[in-house]
Amino acid sequence: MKTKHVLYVAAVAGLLLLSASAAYAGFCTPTPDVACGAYCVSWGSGTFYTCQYAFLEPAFCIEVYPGCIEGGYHCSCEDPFLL
Amino acid sequence: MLFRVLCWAYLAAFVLPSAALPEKASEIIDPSTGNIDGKKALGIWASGTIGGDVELFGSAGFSVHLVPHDDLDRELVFPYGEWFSPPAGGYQVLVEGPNLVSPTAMTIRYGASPFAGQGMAIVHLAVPAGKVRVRTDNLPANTVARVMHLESHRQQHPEYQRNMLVRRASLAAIGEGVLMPTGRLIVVLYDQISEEYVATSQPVHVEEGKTVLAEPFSPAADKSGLLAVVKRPSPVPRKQDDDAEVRWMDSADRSVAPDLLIRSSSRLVAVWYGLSGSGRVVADSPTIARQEMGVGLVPGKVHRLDLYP
Repeated sequence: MKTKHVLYVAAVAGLLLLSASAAYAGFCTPTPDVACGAYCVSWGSGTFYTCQYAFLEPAFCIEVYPGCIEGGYHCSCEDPFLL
Repeated sequence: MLFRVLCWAYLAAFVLPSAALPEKASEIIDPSTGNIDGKKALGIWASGTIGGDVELFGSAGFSVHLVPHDDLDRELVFPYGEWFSPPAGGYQVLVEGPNLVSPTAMTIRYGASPFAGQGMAIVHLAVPAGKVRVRTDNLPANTVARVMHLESHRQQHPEYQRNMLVRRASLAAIGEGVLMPTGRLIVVLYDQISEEYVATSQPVHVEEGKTVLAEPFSPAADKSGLLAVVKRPSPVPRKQDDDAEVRWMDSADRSVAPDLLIRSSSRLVAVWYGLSGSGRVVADSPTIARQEMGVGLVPGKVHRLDLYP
């Protein structure tokens, strides 16, 4: 009975985890938006800095745009043009 | 019994793999090791998949390229997947690999600040690439190239666009070939002494693992080239929202569409290969304020106009 209960709890916890990972592709934790509509996300164990537009699907959390500023989990739209 | 079997099957199929995903990244890098001489170090990796499972590339054949914001003609090369510490400042970041390159440049600001527990670890993208080259035998030594991709910034997502990829290259580098994402691009030649554009190529198509020749040409003696760069008032990342148009209005108020119009999130670039006379560039749309700028074209020259909101 006890084993069955543990398995049941584990299954429910797993279901929740699966749902969360589907929502954030298992990786992303969004941080607050900035004016340009981009925001920085952490990745992996919360220590990668990447940027994405707020309305991109979280599954695209590694699509880095337009850039991150070190340390502050802050994104910038500054973009020097090389033409 | 059946319940127990189902639970184990569920755990094996979903819970354990999904729980293991976050650890997969930390196996590749331990951010707590990003400490160089007491400073927070920078480490850059690249992923090869879009929208699917996350896969980071290994380091074989890869390098990191940083363009300093205070010297856009330079491209500093650093090892991929290792900690390093460039001078503090802003950079455009690209990753190069074997027939792979980032589809857009990523902007970072690196502070070289005191180490406080973790380095600055970044994951960029890399997509299939080939090279573009130009015949440089008859070009003056002060010529450099600006290679602009026409579509890589719009191909990573069906609905969204980023900023276009432009790489600067020395005469030697463009003679050897510059790595660019597959797809269409143009090469513009620039004279560093006169600080003028001198030639523009027609679009060429880069194929994976191959080198394509671009042939920039100067305008005919009675014509002028024109590059118009329109900065948007605010980014337009969603392609379907991008309704801006750019046109040349000649002195008789006749409208001439550009030969190329490259759309991106923050800018539009319009290219005309053979205009003449005087007129103005007009950029407008139902959703942005109209911008325009006049110019008297000089025959035989390639002009550049920058329009800002």
